[in-house]
Amino acid sequence: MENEEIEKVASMASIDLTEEEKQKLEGDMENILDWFSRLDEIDTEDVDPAFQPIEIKNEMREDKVEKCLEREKALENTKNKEDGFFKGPSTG
Amino acid sequence: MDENNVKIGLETHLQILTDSKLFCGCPTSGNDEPNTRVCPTCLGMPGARPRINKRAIEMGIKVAVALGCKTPDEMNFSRKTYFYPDMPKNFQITQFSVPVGVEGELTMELDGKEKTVRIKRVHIEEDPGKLKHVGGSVLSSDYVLVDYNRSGIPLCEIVTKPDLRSPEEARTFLRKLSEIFEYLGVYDTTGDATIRSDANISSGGERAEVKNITGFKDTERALRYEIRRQKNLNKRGKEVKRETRAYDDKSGTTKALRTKEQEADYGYIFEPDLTRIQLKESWVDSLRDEIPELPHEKKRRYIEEYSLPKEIASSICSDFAMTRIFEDLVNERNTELVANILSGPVKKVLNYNEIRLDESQIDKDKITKIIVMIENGEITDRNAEMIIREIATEDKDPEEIKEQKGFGKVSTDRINGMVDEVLEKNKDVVEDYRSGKREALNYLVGQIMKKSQGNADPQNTRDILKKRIEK
Amino acid sequence: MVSSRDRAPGDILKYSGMSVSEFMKKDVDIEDFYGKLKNRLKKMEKMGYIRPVDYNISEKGKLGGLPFTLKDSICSKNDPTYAGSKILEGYKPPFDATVAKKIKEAGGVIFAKTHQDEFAFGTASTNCAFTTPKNPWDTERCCGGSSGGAAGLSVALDLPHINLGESTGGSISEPVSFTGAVGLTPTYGTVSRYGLISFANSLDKIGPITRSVEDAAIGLDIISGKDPMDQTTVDTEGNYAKDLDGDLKDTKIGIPEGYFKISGEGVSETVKEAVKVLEDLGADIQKVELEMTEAALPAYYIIAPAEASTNLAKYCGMRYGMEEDPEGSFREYFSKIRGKGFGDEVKRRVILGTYTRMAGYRDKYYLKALKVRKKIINDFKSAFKEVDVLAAPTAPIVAPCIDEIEGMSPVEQYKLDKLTAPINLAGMPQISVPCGFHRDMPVGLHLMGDHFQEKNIIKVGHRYEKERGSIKYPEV
Ligand SMILES: [Mg+2]
Ligand SMILES: [Zn+2]
Repeated sequence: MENEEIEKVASMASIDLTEEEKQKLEGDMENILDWFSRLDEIDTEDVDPAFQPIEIKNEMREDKVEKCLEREKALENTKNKEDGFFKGPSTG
Repeated sequence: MDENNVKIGLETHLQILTDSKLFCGCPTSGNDEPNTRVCPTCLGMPGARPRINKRAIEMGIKVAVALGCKTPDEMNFSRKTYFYPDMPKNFQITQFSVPVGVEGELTMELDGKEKTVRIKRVHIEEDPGKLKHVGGSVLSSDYVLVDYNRSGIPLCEIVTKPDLRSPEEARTFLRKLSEIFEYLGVYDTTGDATIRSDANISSGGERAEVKNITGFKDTERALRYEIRRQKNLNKRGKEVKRETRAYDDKSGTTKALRTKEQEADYGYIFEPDLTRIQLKESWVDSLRDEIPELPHEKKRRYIEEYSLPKEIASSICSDFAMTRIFEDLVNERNTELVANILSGPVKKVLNYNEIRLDESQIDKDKITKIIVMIENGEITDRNAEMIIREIATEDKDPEEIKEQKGFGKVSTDRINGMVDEVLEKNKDVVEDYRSGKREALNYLVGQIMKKSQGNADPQNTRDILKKRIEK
Repeated sequence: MVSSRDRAPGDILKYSGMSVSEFMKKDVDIEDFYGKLKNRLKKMEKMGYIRPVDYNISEKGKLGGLPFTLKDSICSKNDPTYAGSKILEGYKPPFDATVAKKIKEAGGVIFAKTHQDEFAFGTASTNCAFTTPKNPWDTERCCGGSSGGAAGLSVALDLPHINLGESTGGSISEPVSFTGAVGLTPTYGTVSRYGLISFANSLDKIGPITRSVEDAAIGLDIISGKDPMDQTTVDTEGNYAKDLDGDLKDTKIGIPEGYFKISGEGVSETVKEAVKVLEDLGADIQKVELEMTEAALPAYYIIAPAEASTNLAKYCGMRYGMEEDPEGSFREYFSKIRGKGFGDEVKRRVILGTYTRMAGYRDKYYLKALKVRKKIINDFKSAFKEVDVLAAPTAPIVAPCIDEIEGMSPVEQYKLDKLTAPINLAGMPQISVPCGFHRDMPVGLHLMGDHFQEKNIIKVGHRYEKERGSIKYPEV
C-alpha cells in the first residue's frame, strides 16, 4: 500500500496520522492484505453472503411512541452545549 | 434559455408519516425545544441500537408500489458512512444494494401533454439532525449548534433517471410526487415536513450535483442558476467540471463543494443490527389494496364519469382534500357548479394564500352553503369569490358574510334604474355599439357592475342593456 | 490441581471458594460479605482487572445481592464505561444495557467494570488505554484478551461472583484459557447486545466468565432471552443451569484434528488427555474434518474491522467522550480528536476496516469474507450432523509474557485467535474449561456446539469438570 493510499483511507476514516504512524501502517497493511489474499483461492461462486451467523428475518417494531431521554441527561456527557443544543465544529 | 441539452435527475427526500422515528420510539412531532425528542439510539450513543419501525416499511412499500416499482422478495439496510456534525453515528442507515423499489415511473402533465419520468429507485432511510450555523453561513460559520429532534425521522428517497428537461419540469415533478404521497397518506402536507432534493444537472457536458435544495420554488431557482452557470461556462469555452455543489438558498446560487476526485466513498456495509426483511407477496398485496385511487386515476375518472374538462379535473385532483369535497358534493349538487367553484375561486384564493385546502378554514359545509346561495340566485359568482377570500384563513360563516356585505341579487328594477343613468352618461359608447362595435356593450356592463358593487347579475344586466339599446 | 476444595479456616476466608449456587442458596451475611469484597478491590485494581463503580448493597431478588462485574464495553447507568479507550474516558451512559438491567432486576450488584483491550481489539489485553491486567498465575504474563480483566478477576477474586465478558472472535474463550477460568460464549442472538459498545455487531456476544461451568450456566440464565431492544435476539428456552448432571453415554464428540496440529505440542497433549477423560466417561469420540479452518482468520479480520470502523465513526469529539473546543472545520476537528483518542491497534483496524469496504475493494474483501463466512457456517453445520460437540484446544499456546506480545507483529497477534475465530464467525456456542497445565500455566479445553445447543457443551463441560476435580487457584 502506497503512502498516498494510506492518506486517502485516513481521510475517509477521519483520523490524523503522524508520518511515523503512516509508515508503520504501510508495512502492517502490506502484510495483512497479503495474508487476506489467501481468500482468493476459496471458491465462493453461488454462495450467499452471511449477514449474520444465524438466520434471522423480519424483526420489526410497532410504530409506538416511547419515552425520550430528558434533555439534561442527553447533554450531560459534554461541555460543548449551548441553549439546549449540542455544539459542534463548523461545516465549512 | 435554450434547454434542449438539459438533463436533470432528482434525488428527492420526503418524510413519511409515522408516530415514532424510524429506529427508535421518539415521537416524530411534538415538543420543538431542541433535543427534547431524543434517546440513546437517535443520539448515536455507544451501545444503543436501531429497532426498525414496521409502519415506515409499509409506507415505503406503498410508495414503491404506487410509483409502479418492482419490489424485491427480500430487502436489507446498509450503513452509509460519512462524517458530518448533524450525523450522530457518522453513518446513516439507508438502503443500498436492495431498496424497497426499483424501476418505476411517474406520469405527469406538462403543457397539456403527458410526460413519463422514469424512477430508478425508492428507498427508506433516516434523517440526520438539524444544524444552526453560528456566526456565518454553511461554509463560514464559527461553529454549529445541533438539534437532534429530527435525527431518525423516516424518509423516503426517490431517485429519478435524468429525464427532466427544465427547472419547470422538475418543479412539476416534485408537485406530482408530493401529491402522490399525500394521496397515500404517507406525507403530512400541513406539518413542517419538507421536500428536499439533490439534483444532477448537465447541459450537454459533464454533470454537476447540487446538494440540499429545500422546497419546490428553490428547486426551480437552484436549477435555473446552475443551468445558467453551465451555459455561461460553455459560452466562454470552458468545461463544466464533474463536481458536487452546495445550494445557498440565501443568494440562490450554487458553490463548489468537491470535485469528482474528492468524491465521497461511503464504504457501504450491511447494517448488522437489523435483520433482512422479506416482502412476502401477501403482505405487499394487502398494502397494494390499501392504496387509494391515485391522482392520475382520479383525474381520468372525473373526466369520464362527470364530463369535467381536463384542466378542471386536474386542478381538483392536485389537492387531495379538494377531491374529497368534490366527491362528497358531486351527487348532491350541480356537478358543473361544484367543479367550477372548487377549481376556480377556491383554488385561486388558496394559491394566493399559498396554502392547501386542508390548511385553510374552508370545509365542505361552507362550500355547500356558498353553492346553495348561488343555485338560489342569492349571490353572484363574484360575490362567491369574495366570500371565499374571507373564509380562507378565518373561520367565518358564508351566510353571515353575505348579510354583512349586503350581497344579494339586485332587482331588475334597480338595474333598469342604473341602466338609465349609464346610458345617459355614455351616449358616445351607445353610438359606437349601434355603429357595429359589439365590444362596446362590455364596457356598459362593466359600468353597471361597478355601480352595483358587483351585485348585479352580469347576464341579466347584459340582456337588459341589449334590449334598451337595440330598441 | 488438587483433589478437594481447600477452605482455609477462619472468618476472613469463610466465603472463599464458595460457588455462585451456594451463595444463592446460603444465608449470607451480605454486609459482612461485601466488607470482605471491598477489602479485596484495591488489590484487584492493582492487578489491572477492574475499575470499581459505586454500588448499593442489596439483598433482594433471586440473586440475593450476588456480585457482578461488566466488561468495560457494557453500559450500566451512570457508571463510567470506557470500552478500554481514552476517547470514551469520563463517559457515563444514561442508560443500562439490557444485561445490566436484568442483573439489577434479579437482585445482583454490579461492583466493577473489568479492563479490556481498547474497543475489544486484541488478544492479550495489552491494548488497553488504561492498564494491562496481569495473569494471576504469573504476573509477567498476560491475561489474554480482549476480556482479560474479567478472565483474570474470576481466578484472582476468591469470592463468588459472575463476570460478564464479550466475545467477537474469541474474546471470552481465549482469555479464560490463559487464566484457568471458565468462559461461556452463547449462540449469537441469545443475549441482548443492547448497551454493549459494539465492536462488530454481526459477531459480538456477551457471555459469563466464572470459575465453574455451573456458575457460567447460572449466569447465562440471568442474561439470556429475546429483547425488543435488540432485533437480532431470538427466543431461546433458557434453563441452562437445570439438569446439569448427565452421563456422556449418548454424546458424540468430534475431534477436529487440524486444531490440534495448529497448537503447540504441550497444549495439544494436555487437551488430548482431557479428551481421553471424556472417552473414559463414555463419550463417543470421532475424528472430524473442518475444511475451512485456515480461511476463518483472514475472513474474521476483514469482517470485524469493516463493521468496527463504522461503529467507531461516532467517536469524534461531540456529545460524549474526549472533546475540545470545537474550532475550525469538522474535518480537522474530528480527525484531530480521533488521532489523539484512538490507540495504535484501533487506528490500524479502523484503517484496515475502512480500506476493505472502499468502493474498489468491497467485493474483493468485504463481500468475499461474508461469503467465506457462509462456507464456514456450512462447514460446522455438516460437522454437527455427525457429532453433538466438538472438542479442541481453546488457544494454541498458554498465556505468553506481556513483553513477548508487545514484540509480536499484528498478524502474529491475530493468529492467537486462530482456533476461536472459526466458531465465532459461525456464531455457535462454546465453553472453555481448564483442563490442566503446561509450563505451570493453565490450558483450556474448548467445547463447541451447534447453534442454540448450549445444553450439550454445558453438559460435557460440567461432567468433565466433576471428573477433573477442583483447582487450587493462585493466591493473589
Ligand atoms: Mg439520501
Ligand atoms: Zn430516539
